[in-house]
Formats: sequence, C-alpha cells, structure tokens
Amino acid sequence: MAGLERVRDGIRLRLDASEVDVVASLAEGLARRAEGADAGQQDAVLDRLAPVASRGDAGADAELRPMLRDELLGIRVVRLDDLAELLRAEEPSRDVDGFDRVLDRGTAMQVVEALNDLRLALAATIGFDGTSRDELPDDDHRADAVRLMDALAWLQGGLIEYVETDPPR
Amino acid sequence: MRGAAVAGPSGPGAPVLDPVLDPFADVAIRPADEPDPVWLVVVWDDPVNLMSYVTLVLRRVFGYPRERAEELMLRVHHEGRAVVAEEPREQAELHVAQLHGYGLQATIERDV
Repeated sequence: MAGLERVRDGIRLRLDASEVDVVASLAEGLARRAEGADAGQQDAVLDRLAPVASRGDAGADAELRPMLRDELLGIRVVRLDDLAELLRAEEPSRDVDGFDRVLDRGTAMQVVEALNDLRLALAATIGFDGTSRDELPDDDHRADAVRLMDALAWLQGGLIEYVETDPPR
Repeated sequence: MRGAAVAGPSGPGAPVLDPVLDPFADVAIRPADEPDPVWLVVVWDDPVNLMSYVTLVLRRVFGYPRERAEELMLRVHHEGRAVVAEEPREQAELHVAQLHGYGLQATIERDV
C-alpha cells in the first residue's frame, strides 16, 4: 500500500508491486501516445496536455498552439518515461517487492509533475467534470478512473507538501 | 489617426505615410511613442489540478511569494479565472507555454 514519510534527507515513497505496475504502465502508455501524436490529430487527452493558448481569439490560438504542441508533448514523453524508469528500477534491497526509496526535492518535483500529467490524462479520458467518487454510482464506468485519480492526487499532494516546505538550514 | 509610423526609423517628426501607398499598411502599426501593448496571462479553473499544485506552479513560474500565489490560486478557484500577469506579448507567450508545461489551463489575451 502506498506510503509517504518525511525523513531526514528527503521523502520516502513506498509503493507495492501492483501499484508500481499500474503507475508505470500508465506513464509508459501516455508517453507512447504523446510520442506518436500527429500534428492536427484530434485527441482529447493530448489536447488537454497541449491546451488552447487563447480563448476568444482563434487567430492568436492558431498561431501559438501549433508552435507549442510538439514541445509540450515532448516534455511529457521525457517526464513520463523518467517516472516509469524510476519506479521500475531495480531496488537496492532484495527485500523490497515494489518501490521504496527516499526522493530528494528535485526528484519529488519531477514525480509531482508526471503524476499531474497522468491525472489530467485520466480526467480527459473519462470526461471528468469534478464529480466526486462518492457521487458516482458504483456501476458508473468512471468510478475506477476517479478512484485512481484520487489515489494519485493523494500521492501528489503529499509530495507537494514536501517540495513546498523550506529546506532545513 | 494617421500620425502612425511603422516600427523602425521613426519618432517625432517622422514622415507620415499615406496608407494607400504605404507598403506596410497591413502591418500592425502604432504611434512610435505609444508604449508596448500589455497582454494578460490568464489561468482558468479546472477540476483536476490541486489547489496546492496551482500555488506551487505560480510560485515557480512567476517567482511570486507564497501569499501572492495563494491569493491568485483562490481567485482562479472561486471566480473561474484570474489574471496572473500583465506583460509584453513575448513574455506572456513564454509564461503561457510554461504554465501549459505544468498542466495548467492558461491563455493570453490582449488588455483592452
């Protein structure tokens, strides 16, 4: 079960093997999707990662957005592959089945950003409108995705709290 | 107003070009002594980005102190959008790109 713990030289992140597999697989899948994007391709997920740059001014958006799209998707490919690689790296301790490492601030921030990409992608996939998990019927097809988004948000929030805390002097 | 000059060798006393003959007539022109137009960087609310994340991003992109970043984040949350910067277009475009890189919904618009 996922866990976060502040320790002297960083924040300790623990994920069990199945959690590693889910998060890393999502990251790899989204990275490949961003990598294979064609210019002008309609894709709600990729459109959320490279959103409109100007509302109410189609000319400005048409000028700016295509310039940014490749760069924004390229950033995601690197970031998501880095997350998957971090999570799947061989553990230093053979006793660990999953992920159990202390992250420094820089790495924690990279994980925060990648988790955000995953949450944005899940939200775009199911057309998430802010409806909470409690409001969804159990048989709603969005329930599992919202549950996963909540779990990733919990991890992300804990890491943000660590990143935002002033380092000890 | 015809007292406009194309960007370049101009200024007070520069010749006024007849728009009919002016080869740059379709280029955006403004009086030489007029300050650069201001563009607004707007962040929009969305149901996914965490409030703490939006605050963090505003601090990183604009270097705002925590209190200022939180104030802007709350404005986004309660009002649906907030102007987070007013600056020249090039700078505004750069900031929108950075905000998109972090996953925020941000746009530029000309200040009117």
